[in-house]
Amino acid sequence: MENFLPVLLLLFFAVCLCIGIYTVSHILGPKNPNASKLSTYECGVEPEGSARVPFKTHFYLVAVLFLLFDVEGVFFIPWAIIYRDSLKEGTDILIAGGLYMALLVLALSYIFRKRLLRLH
Amino acid sequence: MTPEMMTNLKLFAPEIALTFFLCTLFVYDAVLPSLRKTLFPLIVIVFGMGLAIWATADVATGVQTYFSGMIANDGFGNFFRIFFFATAAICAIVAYGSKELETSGRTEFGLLLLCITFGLSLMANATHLLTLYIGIETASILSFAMAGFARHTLRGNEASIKYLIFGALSSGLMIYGFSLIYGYTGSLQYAEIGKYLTAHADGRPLIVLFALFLIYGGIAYKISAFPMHFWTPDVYEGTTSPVATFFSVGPKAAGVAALIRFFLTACATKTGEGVWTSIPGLSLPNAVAMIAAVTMLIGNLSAIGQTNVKRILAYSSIAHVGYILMGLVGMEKTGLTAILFYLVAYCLMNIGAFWVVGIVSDIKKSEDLSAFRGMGWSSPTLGVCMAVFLFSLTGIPMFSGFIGKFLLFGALLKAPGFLWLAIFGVLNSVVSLYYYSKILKAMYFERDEQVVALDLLPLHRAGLVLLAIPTVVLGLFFGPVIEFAEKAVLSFL
Amino acid sequence: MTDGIFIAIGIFTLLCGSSVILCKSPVYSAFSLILSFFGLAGLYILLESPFIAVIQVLVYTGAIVVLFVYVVMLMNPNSSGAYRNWIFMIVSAFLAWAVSLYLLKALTLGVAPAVGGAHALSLKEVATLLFTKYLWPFEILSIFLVVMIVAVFALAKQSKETPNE
Repeated sequence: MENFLPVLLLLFFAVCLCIGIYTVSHILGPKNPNASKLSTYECGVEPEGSARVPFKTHFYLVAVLFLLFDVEGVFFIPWAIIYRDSLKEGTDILIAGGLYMALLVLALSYIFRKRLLRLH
Repeated sequence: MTPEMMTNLKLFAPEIALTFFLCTLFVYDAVLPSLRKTLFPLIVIVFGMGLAIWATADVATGVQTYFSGMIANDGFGNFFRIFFFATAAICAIVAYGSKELETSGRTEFGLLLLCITFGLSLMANATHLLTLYIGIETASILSFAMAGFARHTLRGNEASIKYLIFGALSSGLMIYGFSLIYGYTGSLQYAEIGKYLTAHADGRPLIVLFALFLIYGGIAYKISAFPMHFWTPDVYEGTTSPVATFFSVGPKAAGVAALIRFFLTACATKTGEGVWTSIPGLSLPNAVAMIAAVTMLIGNLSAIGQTNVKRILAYSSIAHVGYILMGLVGMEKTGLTAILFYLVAYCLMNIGAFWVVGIVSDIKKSEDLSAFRGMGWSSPTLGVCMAVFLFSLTGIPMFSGFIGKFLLFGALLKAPGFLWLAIFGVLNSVVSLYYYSKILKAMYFERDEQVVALDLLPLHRAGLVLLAIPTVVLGLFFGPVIEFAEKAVLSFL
Repeated sequence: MTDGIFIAIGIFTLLCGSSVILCKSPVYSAFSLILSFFGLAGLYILLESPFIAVIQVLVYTGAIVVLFVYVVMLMNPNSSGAYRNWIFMIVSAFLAWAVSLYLLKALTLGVAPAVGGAHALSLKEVATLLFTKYLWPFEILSIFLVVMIVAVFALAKQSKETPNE
């Protein structure tokens, strides 16, 4: 756990740096707002309409599927660490991980067949 | 493959058969989508359940817990496994006769049903809090998805979201209870929790009671007991009828089994053949009696003013949970046998009642009492079967519901000092007669303005009669089932 | 020193958690949630389980908050126009903290934690346990994940216009 003290210090310094730069620019910067400075920038073109347009809910489905496979990946991490050493005592852990992977390949093939990742 | 692993897999064979059929259906659904419209998924489900029931009967004895102490192998667990597989098969048939689940929704329903049954069987057989949690979450999360099938109506959306939010809340509280118990006792196994609680019976901090209350709250959500009963009417009304059919039977039985297993193993000690006494400081009978009384009262009183038949049946299912919990008060084998028998009878009559409601709502497009007007005359099969189910639910003699209630009251009277609960239960049954007979009155004593000829599928006719016959027969020849239940209870770990 | 860090991270997490509820804009709430998850990861590291801390950041912050932000974007809620009384909110948040702290203290009076409790497990030990003693729940969860995809499909396909044959 002592190994993580540098991580904490790094986070702390990063946050302090960001806040510091922002504060300093806020204090030291000139404040002369006018209409064209405050308007939204859109590559030189006049922006029209609202920035929030309704978008396809299908993107949400893609995010949910990502979550499911992210959790799968999280369980692969411990397997990847030990399976090489466990091969000395037999193939039990290799088969267990293989079964897990097979089930999730099954799930992935279901997704592909049902065209769940198509956006059109 | 160590021999221990082979034994484990052999004992887990019913669920492995279930998983195999789940994967088969999954693969077929992906590879040959044209099969979705036929009866193929139904055949897979029913065949899979049949095979699983057969595998359950073949399970070896002698091993108490397996998978390193996570699941129990005893007659009690096998009873519930057979119960869940049979219930799921019947509910799959109900779903296939229903028009509400359009043809393309049935395969997903079947897949979810198979996996929820898997989770329910885990719940009933768990001897480790981790297994209990996995079972509850598998059953709950997939139930949230199943409850959302009727998404095109406002009520359906409301049902699914209510079920999800309150379910997530109660699961969160429950796992907080698990972590507190783990921190206090140092183990997640039921038996070791029980040993620790018995050994440290004096000076027990309040946090243990708090944790046990939270765990009870999580399980109570699944069985819709007080205080977590409020979701039941809205969810049952909002979902499609086949889904409500399954919800009213499956999770309730699993929750009752989990409740019995956890609280009798971890909060009570076995002091004889089929007799338990609670650990000093944790008075289980009083708590269960209070909860049963309040649940019964809430269920029966709230059902009186309802006009939607599904809500009436939802409140009546809450009341039935109150009756079932009465059997746990005595903490001995007569009470538990009564609970198991009542669950079997309740399964038959409740599935029948919800099926009738589903058929009527398919034809008349409404679930109100007014849709039932004159049903008894325009479709005699429907009327007679519904009458049988409603009489059995009330507890009128010579039906299986009466025998179940009789056994429960009898077991209650054996425990000293709970006469008030038995009288309370009888009064509640009388109150329930009122709202059940409201449905019967609409069916037989009111006429419909336009007479709509009801065409029931032969599947409906056959299925309803096949459910009504055991409801009557169990009221007369209840011996074999009671013996089976008693053997199951006596072999409880 | 560990106590000092614990207090600092704890207060940070509580502040971020309260800001999830108290912020007017829902996007600010989602980002406060991210910060509170980082605080939780710090607490897990203090409990000597770095694996859980990393999983927390990967799964929670990396996937679940994405879902939160998606919902905020889909719903497009306006910040509520009614002015909320800040003092009332801060006082009630403080009362909630105080009550729960008191409750926890009162409930745990006289608790001696069980012997054989937690000791630090390295990642290798966790992995070995996961694949020997707890192999069975692990495989069950994979089946559960597979069926979850069916559940997601069942809920989502009704909103798609293209039918799936």
